[in-house]
Amino acid sequence: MKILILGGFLGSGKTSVLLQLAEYLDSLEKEYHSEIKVAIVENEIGAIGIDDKVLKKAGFNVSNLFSGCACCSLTGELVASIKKIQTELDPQWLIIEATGVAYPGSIRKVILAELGLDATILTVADAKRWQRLVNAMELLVSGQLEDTSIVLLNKVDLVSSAELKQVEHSILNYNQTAAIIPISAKAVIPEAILKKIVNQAEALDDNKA
Amino acid sequence: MITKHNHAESCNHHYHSGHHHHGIESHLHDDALVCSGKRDIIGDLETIKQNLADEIEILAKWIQEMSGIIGHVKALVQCDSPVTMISTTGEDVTVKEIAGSSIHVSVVAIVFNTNVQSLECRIATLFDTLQKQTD
Ligand SMILES: Nc1nc2c(ncn2[C@@H]2O[C@H](COP(=O)(O)OP(=O)(O)OP(=O)(O)O)[C@@H](O)[C@H]2O)c(=O)[nH]1
Ligand SMILES: [Mg+2]
Repeated sequence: MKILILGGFLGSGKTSVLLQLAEYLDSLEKEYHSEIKVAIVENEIGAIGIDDKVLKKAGFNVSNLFSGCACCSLTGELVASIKKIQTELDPQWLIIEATGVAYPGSIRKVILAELGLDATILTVADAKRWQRLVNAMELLVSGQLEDTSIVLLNKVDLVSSAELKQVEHSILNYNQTAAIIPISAKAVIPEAILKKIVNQAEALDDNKA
Repeated sequence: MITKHNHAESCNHHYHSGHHHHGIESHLHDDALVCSGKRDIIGDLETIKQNLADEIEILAKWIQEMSGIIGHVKALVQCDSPVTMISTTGEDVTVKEIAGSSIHVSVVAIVFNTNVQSLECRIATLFDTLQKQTD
């Protein structure tokens, strides 16, 4: 079971990416001992689940964890649900959508410490709001870039190429090693990009092995 | 859950004991204020979708005018159609199809730097407006 953690600020586009990524992973021909290719864990902070319904409607296997912050109070629940998915479904891929205020790096640490399973982090950044968010809550949005392998710089349809450059530049201040991939998850993400994301995740997975 | 608070003056709602906006739940998650509510409305799906989109836009503008920062405001509209009512008073059982659909509307606002009472009022007003528009 390979684990992907999808992080990034509230409304940055995690669910939009997840829908397309999960569909792509599902479509891949791969030899695997389990029938199930993709399972999803949603962590939402509202009292009412919305993303899980959207994903379930799309036909995916979704577990919903409410509230808490996925890195502290929720540890037990998160670990239990990953364990359950591993034993009952054993999917080829498990995608965890973090809440928009979580630090994906902390979630990765928890999973590694508690279950001995490593995860690859993809962080979605909102190109349109990036600078505004850095100004208002730098600690959070920069912290969400920590430990991420790939930054999906989303909503490029809403910014000029000059603005995009500035955002890329700003992101580099916080993470120099991650691959930055500009996308627009509102539209169809080209297969070449999804492939690149998956390859990158698999390459990291191979490196860890 | 916020159970006790003073209401913003602009709020004209009636409250149940404990001064809590019926059906609106709020909590703080780190610095984020999370406010969620839902309501069932009988009406036309397309009209409600359009009205809700307009109301969400008004809500977003209001949050920003109050110097709040929007994390994400999202809503879900689910439709049960057709709606059937089955009833009896002890004699025969009537089965009645109701015109229109039963629409479940959920709204979640995750914001920063916004007053909880005022936001709860605003969301309660949003639901009231939606309901009025379909009556
Ligand atoms: N213009 C534009 N809008 C986008 C794009 N991707 C996502 N959105 C919109 O951004 C909003 C948030 O998208 P979501 O995918 O729900 O974001 P999220 O990160 O899952 O949000 P939370 O789970 O609430 O933190 C939605 O209104 C999307 O339609 C994009 O590439 N361009
Ligand atoms: Mg989401």
